[in-house]
Amino acid sequence: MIAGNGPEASLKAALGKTKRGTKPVERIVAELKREARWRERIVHWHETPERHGRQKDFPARMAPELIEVLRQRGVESLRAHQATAIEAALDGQDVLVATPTASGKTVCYTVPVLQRLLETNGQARALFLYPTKALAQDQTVGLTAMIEGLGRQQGNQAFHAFTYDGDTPPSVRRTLRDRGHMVLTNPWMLHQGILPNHSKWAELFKGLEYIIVDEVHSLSGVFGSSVANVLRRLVRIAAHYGAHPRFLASSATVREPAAHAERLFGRKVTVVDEDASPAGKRYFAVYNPPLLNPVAGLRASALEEARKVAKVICGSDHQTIFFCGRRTAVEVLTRYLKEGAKDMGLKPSEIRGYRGGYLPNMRREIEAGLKDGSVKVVISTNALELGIDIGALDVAVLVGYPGSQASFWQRAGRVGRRGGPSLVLQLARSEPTDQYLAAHPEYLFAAPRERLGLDPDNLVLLSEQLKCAAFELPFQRAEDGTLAGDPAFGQVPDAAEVLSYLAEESGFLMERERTFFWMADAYPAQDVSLAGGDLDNVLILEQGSERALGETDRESSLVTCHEGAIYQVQGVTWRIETFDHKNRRAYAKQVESDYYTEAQTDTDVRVLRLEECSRRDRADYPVAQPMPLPEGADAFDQVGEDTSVWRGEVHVTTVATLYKKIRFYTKENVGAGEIHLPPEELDTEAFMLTLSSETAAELGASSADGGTAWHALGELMRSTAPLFVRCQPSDLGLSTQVRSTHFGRPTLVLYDRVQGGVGLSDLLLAAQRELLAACLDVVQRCACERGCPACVGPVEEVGAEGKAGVLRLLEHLSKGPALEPCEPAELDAPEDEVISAKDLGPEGHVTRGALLPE
Amino acid sequence: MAGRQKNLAGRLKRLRREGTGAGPAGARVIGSEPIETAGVEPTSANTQSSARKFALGRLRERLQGRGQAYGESSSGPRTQPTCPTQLGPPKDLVSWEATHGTCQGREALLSGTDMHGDWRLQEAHLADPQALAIMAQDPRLLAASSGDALFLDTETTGLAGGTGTWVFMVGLGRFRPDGTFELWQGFLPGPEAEKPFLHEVARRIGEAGTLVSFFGKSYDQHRLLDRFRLHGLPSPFENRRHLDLYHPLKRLCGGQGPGPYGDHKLQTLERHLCGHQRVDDLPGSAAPEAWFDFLRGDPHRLEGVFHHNFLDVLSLVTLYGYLGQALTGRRGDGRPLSGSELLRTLALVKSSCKGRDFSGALRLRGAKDFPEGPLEQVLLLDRLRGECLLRTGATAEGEELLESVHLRAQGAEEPGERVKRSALESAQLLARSAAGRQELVRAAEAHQWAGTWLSRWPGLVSHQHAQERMGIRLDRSLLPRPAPGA
Ligand SMILES: [Zn+2]
Repeated sequence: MIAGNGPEASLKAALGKTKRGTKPVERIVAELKREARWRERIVHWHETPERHGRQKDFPARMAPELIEVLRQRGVESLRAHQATAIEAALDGQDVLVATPTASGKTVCYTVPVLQRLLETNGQARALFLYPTKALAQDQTVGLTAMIEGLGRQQGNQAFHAFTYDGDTPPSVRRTLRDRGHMVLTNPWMLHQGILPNHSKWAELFKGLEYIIVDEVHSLSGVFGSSVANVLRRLVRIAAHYGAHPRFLASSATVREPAAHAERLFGRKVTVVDEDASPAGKRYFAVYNPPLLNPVAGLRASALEEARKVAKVICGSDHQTIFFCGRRTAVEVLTRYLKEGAKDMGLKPSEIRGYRGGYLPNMRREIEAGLKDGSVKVVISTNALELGIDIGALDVAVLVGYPGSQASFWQRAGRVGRRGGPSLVLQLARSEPTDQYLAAHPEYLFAAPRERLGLDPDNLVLLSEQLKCAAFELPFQRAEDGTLAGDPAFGQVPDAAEVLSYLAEESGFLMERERTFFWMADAYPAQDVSLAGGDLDNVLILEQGSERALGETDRESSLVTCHEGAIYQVQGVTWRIETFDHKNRRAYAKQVESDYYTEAQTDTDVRVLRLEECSRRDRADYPVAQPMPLPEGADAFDQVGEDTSVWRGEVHVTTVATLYKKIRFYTKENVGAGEIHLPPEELDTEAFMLTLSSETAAELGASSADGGTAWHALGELMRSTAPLFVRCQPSDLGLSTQVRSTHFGRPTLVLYDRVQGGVGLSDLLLAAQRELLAACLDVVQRCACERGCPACVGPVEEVGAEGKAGVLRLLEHLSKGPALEPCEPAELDAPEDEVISAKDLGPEGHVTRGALLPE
Repeated sequence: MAGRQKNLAGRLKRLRREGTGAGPAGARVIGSEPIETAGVEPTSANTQSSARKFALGRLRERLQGRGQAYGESSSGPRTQPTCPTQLGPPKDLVSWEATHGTCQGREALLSGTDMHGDWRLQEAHLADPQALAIMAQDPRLLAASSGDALFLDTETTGLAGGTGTWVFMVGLGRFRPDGTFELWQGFLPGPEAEKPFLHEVARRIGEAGTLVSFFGKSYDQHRLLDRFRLHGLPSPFENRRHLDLYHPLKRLCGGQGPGPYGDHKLQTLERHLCGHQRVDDLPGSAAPEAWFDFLRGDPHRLEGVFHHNFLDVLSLVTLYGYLGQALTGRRGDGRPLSGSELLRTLALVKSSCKGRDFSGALRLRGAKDFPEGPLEQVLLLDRLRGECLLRTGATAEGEELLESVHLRAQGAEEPGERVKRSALESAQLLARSAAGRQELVRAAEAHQWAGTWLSRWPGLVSHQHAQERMGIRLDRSLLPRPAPGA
């Protein structure tokens, strides 16, 4: 943020020092370290010393008037990484700046853009993409201020920066299209508004030199894979107008940023990741709420602890930010803190909540209050995680792990005035990931370990995006039938075949003289969502009024939208009266219900094709303490396979059969009903883990109890996966079988819940060893006796022997020699063998439901 | 390769869930916590898209109404088409070399005396430019004449717009100096032939003095512009007079809300105003498929599209003639125009007032009374006339008329919302006029009437504000002022 360098910044730095002499952060840290009640809760301290930045002169190529504008804004020289990035960008390279929040990334791409505008006398154009509308608007303000600075001293042509989003009035759009030198927008507007109407934007495309993509670490999964294709479309349209723009991107620190950017942009990029900005001393503390009931593994609530510690860390001489996971948590904590304002020496009005759903005016007011120091405490969802300019604060409290290292650092980056110390307090919840981090705080400070899933070539997403691309401009085949000549899709495998398919099977296109023309009465971008198939989502409406109550994805609709299901919104109960399965709508009636419903689903996973495999032999790592064998049975030989992991395509069929009515609080079963819904089918990719029958028997995984432990292991892997793979647990489906029809032995399947998959199975295969080790660690360290929600799950679910069973499995699987890659022995199953649910006989092996409750 | 391709097609079919009735699926954003955007975006694209869908649906309804379902018999007698419908199969298309390559199309020459509905084409020559200019609220049309008019109607592959929407047929009609009517239909025989087609269309549009279309300013013009821009052609619409018949005819037939003819679609209007009954017309919504079929080698429905487009252009001519008689209310032979004269008068007065030509509005047969008309229309007309009188200085006459609106409304049994509105507005106008003349008692009386009407009908925000302002003004003027220094 440019403002970080401005005169306001020095004002803020001044604010950081108190009249009493001691800096507030130092005082807080001393108190937290001194008092016994905090000492026993804070399990880890980590400090990074004050760092002096490395400066570099302005690049020689920079116009003097541009340097002057920066000087007026308090920038006397550049940080080394900024200078490197600017030089590379002006040199015509694609650049990714992967440095922490507040390291001055905005300068890295605004300077090259303005420099080129000056050099071309206003001919150059730049398109800025931000992940949210608010960010784009925020940045437009900053850019406009710089442009005005330029105009004042130059007296020459004025440049214009505009935000283009859903709120842009139609009357302004035309001016913006023809005269905007810099257009700031978001991926959705680019996808649905700009690209399909590119001829209206000809002026922008003709001069397009830079495409700025902010916060690229947020571009993963279905959304990221779709945006990668939108960028391909953008490059293609630009080429049509004779422009070959460069990418200038910024990212939080992520694992392998170069590889991620390359998949996203389809080309090699220059990565600038050495942070040369100065930083004050930083304190990090990991706070684990005390165990209330060691047997059950129950800890005090993180929210309650946040309230307690607030008395120490909030005050009138500094600013504190709390990050909560949910909107309701924000509201609750805000109320608590306002009630206790007096004890902290604050007025209730100095404490504010901030979350989605607030009106823009109120948000602007809170942001301004944070900048000018009048708001002392803010409690926010991740809405304040991205780069909205609120200046730098002093203390950050993360109530629960935000789910990814990138988010952790974004939130932590909200504190730290220049030259002043700052404190980040991470509060752990009773969940496997949080407890793992409480035990391994080094994870947070080591190099990023999460892998970002991105698969722009996912066939479903690719085919949808190719529809949009063909609508924009016809595709031309080369002599050899490929799309080799296409500037963006030329190297994409299968693109030509997908187009043929769209022409011959779907009828959207028509191929004439080796050219694919869009020929359909439709506007495809309108029906193609960037976030996946939300066209398939089920809307839950109030019967009669058709008021929308909520939305649920296709697979979950089986358990939440069947007739008779109780749907809960903010404490109000609704009963689903009818489910219009075909039109994806469920109609509900408000009822006074003293029970909720729980549907039972059977998930069948059929392996279609195995693509990768690693295994090890029993001889390489015998089971240390085999379970006692039945009387008279012979011990197993140490031959054959021990365990193996796989990646491949699977067909998942989920059927809901019955639902139970369960009384609130008492949890007694008060009835049941049948569900009559067609099965949900999903074709996707999966990660699979198997045990040989012998090893399974020795580990006790073949018995009925063993099956429960096997499933609990799967659940644990699913909830721990976000430590190593950028995803949410709910992005993964789980199915476990003690005797798989495909492998004939215990098998655990974690599948990508997106049709076609977006690469999560690849990442799981690569991360499986780390993942299993982390799972072992979580279970070993957990204080509970026989299982709890923070490890394998509560005793009522996993049984008395559950924790021991999972431990036994993990001890074996996460240790010993690594698995060796091998050829998948099984052949591809022919396409026509895909079975549908109706073929599932009564013996069709089914497993426990793999759906997470909503 | 072939095997692999077959395999890929199978996989795609499965993955895209085609044939299952559900669209391609997926779930939600993977890999990133949905970003809390403080009430803004990610979803805004979606809400925007649903708003867009809604708007498109409306547009679709409006435009598709140009045609009824194919073969559906419409109300009223089935009449034989009065214009030639047998234009020959599309093979009669002629090709010719134009500046940028081969063009295709067909041209028909009609006599000015040919009938379309119960109108002759040449009646368009009698259109009064003043009527056109008033009703379209566009003074540039005062220079329009049937001789320089180009009647334009396009057929496209969709209503959504965007670069993937093709314009594949453009019907352009004009009167030749000898009085014959030339109807040219340019046709795009394939996407590869677009350049010469567009150049030809642009050239012809560029020769027109006044463009005449139906909903063309909002639709046809934009679709054509998209294509022109894509091929780097300059806009031939720039600075050209353009009479879009949709809005003026809608005003003429009752304005907002359902008029006497239900909707304001081209086919409804041509039926009611010009007596044209279409038979076996291909609905406009079927045109895209007809063209796609033709491109795939099956031209069976293309003739229907040509015919549909042909009739649309002829309707433009007769509706142009109809609109051009709005002032006289009579056709050339003295027969009255079909449709309600009261509504027409109302529309003219309203349009004139909008153009701030109040004396013009009064000259528009403003003196005529419509004793038998529906009360709500009569009162609205008198309220408008009353305002015009006030604004042109005929204060006494205007105030009297406005008062009579109030009194007639008072005498009505169960007055409708529109009656109440006219009464309220009349009373407010009257109060303002009287207050302006310092006739404070009369103003207070009228102000009170308005208050009564407001209690019977809540009015709009503007009415309430006006009422409040007048109240304050009267309070200030009527109440004794406090003595200076008190
Ligand atoms: Zn535990």
